[in-house]
Amino acid sequence: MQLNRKLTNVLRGRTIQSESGDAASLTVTFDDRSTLKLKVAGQATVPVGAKVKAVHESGDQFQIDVENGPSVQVRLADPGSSVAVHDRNGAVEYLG
Amino acid sequence: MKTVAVRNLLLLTLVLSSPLRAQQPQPEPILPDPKLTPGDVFDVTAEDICVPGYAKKVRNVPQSVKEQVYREYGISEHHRGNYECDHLISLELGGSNSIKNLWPESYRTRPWNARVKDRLENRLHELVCSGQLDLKAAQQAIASNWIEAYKKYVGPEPKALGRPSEDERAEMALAAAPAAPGQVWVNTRSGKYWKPGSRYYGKTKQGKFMSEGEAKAAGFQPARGAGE
Repeated sequence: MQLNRKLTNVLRGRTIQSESGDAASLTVTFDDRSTLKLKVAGQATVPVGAKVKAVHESGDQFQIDVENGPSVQVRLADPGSSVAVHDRNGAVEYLG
Repeated sequence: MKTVAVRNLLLLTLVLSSPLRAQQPQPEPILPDPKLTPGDVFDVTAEDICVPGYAKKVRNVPQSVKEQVYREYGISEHHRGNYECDHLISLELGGSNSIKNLWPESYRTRPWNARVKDRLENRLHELVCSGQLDLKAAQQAIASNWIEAYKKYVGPEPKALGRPSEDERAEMALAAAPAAPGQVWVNTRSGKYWKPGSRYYGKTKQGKFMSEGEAKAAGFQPARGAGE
């Protein structure tokens, strides 16, 4: 799966503080209070406390690599329109 | 006998791979197919898209997706400068990278082509960011029929006729000269500005002239640290 360099540069080093969501969406909050919102096809969970190492993406496949743990794989509902990162103030950091 | 057959096969291969072989005419749509490209947006507000450099935060469209767009529109051959894999609702207006928002827009059709649509995109962005037009209305206008939107928000008749020649580019540069000396050129996509005499002064696809003070007040940053 292809490295998503732009998103990796945004998220690398952030620690997952909490997660919430349902079958259509997943919201991850990081230790700096930034958020990653994903529109997903199916349930997905992420390991709370893990630090992001890299993000890979290809078509509807989305993968978060974390330090010292298994990667998280998610299926995106609409590739190109399913991923958003906002900083603690709500400003856009990444869209894709 | 076998030698003749092999020779004929080689000849046939040569003919089929020859550059002289007639090329299939490729589709050159001036409007997207609404079934393939209805348009799609990110969940963003006018406040989001009016921040200088907003569009740089959006991931680039992967080449594989662009190829899929060309295939869906029946375009089997495309060369640099023929088409732009265009966002129907532009990134600057909150359009997304979904394939539902992408279409192959020709640079060569006249008078309506990708460069003309760029003008509309810039105009709508200006109207939205100056509070004269609602973002949703701008998105709807460009998605439903960008040519009608051009006539409504820019003017009745576009002057651009496709890829400009060297002379035309020089004329355009003169026509697009700053209103006052010393103004900087703001690349509204990247959020950076260039000073007079620098490499990209007045040359980026999207941008406008303004004083350096105005550029700074609007949140634009000097390109490469000094705008040079």
